[in-house]
Amino acid sequence: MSTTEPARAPARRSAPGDVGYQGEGWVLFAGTMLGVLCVLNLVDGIAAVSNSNFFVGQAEFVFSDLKTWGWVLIVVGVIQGVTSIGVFLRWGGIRWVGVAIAGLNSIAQLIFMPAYPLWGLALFTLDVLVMYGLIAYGGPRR
Amino acid sequence: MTTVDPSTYEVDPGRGWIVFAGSMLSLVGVLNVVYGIAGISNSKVFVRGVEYVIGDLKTWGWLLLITGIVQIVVAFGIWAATEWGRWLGVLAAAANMFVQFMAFPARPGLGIALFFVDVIVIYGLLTYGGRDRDSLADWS
Repeated sequence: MSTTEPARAPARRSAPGDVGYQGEGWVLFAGTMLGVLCVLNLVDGIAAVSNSNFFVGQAEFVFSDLKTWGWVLIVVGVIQGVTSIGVFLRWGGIRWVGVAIAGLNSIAQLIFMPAYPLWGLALFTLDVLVMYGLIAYGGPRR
Repeated sequence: MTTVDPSTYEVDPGRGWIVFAGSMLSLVGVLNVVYGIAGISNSKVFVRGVEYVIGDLKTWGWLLLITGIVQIVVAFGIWAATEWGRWLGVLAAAANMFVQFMAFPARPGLGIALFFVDVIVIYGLLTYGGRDRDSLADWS
């Protein structure tokens, strides 16, 4: 690593196969997945708050009830939507907001699983991918 | 360390993997603490009337709680890029795979998910934990 700050070179169009290209792809992927999670969580959350029948009846949660978790999902979904935009626009520091919200969502999904089995696992996996993309490749350009 | 072409992104997935492994370990730790406490207090969230290889829900609740706390502590060691963090991280994740397996009947879905997260943690720590730890200091 050179100690001298490189002259701010114009952003180079990386060729496919470049490591840089791959990192770029992971960050865009993470942003896209955050957008997908936002929509899915909003639908789930609204359904849960209005006590929709398509959830498992009388599901027991480790704490609290369906309505509470519905609100949690709605709030998380909204934050994920904003974060997704932020990742695309490369707001400074948005990466750690993304990691935090994906981490929170992964916990929420697993706790929500009794009401909507398997679905929780699918969204949990997406959250892990988002966290990987943002942590490993989301750093500022140098 | 080799000088890199300044016009490229500096992407070193190894450094990211360590931070990622620490994050995953703390995530598993938090869930283990939550479900461990629930297991100790015999929560209704667990599948009833199941048989365990040994012990009962309360035993595994305590073990989940203890592993969870250890994992959260070790996660800080991993983020600090310490040698003990790396090996205790591998140990904590491996031990947790065992605990997840033993407590599996009580909460199947969660057990499967956390089992594979442990695999990810061990992979990250063993593959990338041994090199480049100094550069974690200026990691951003």
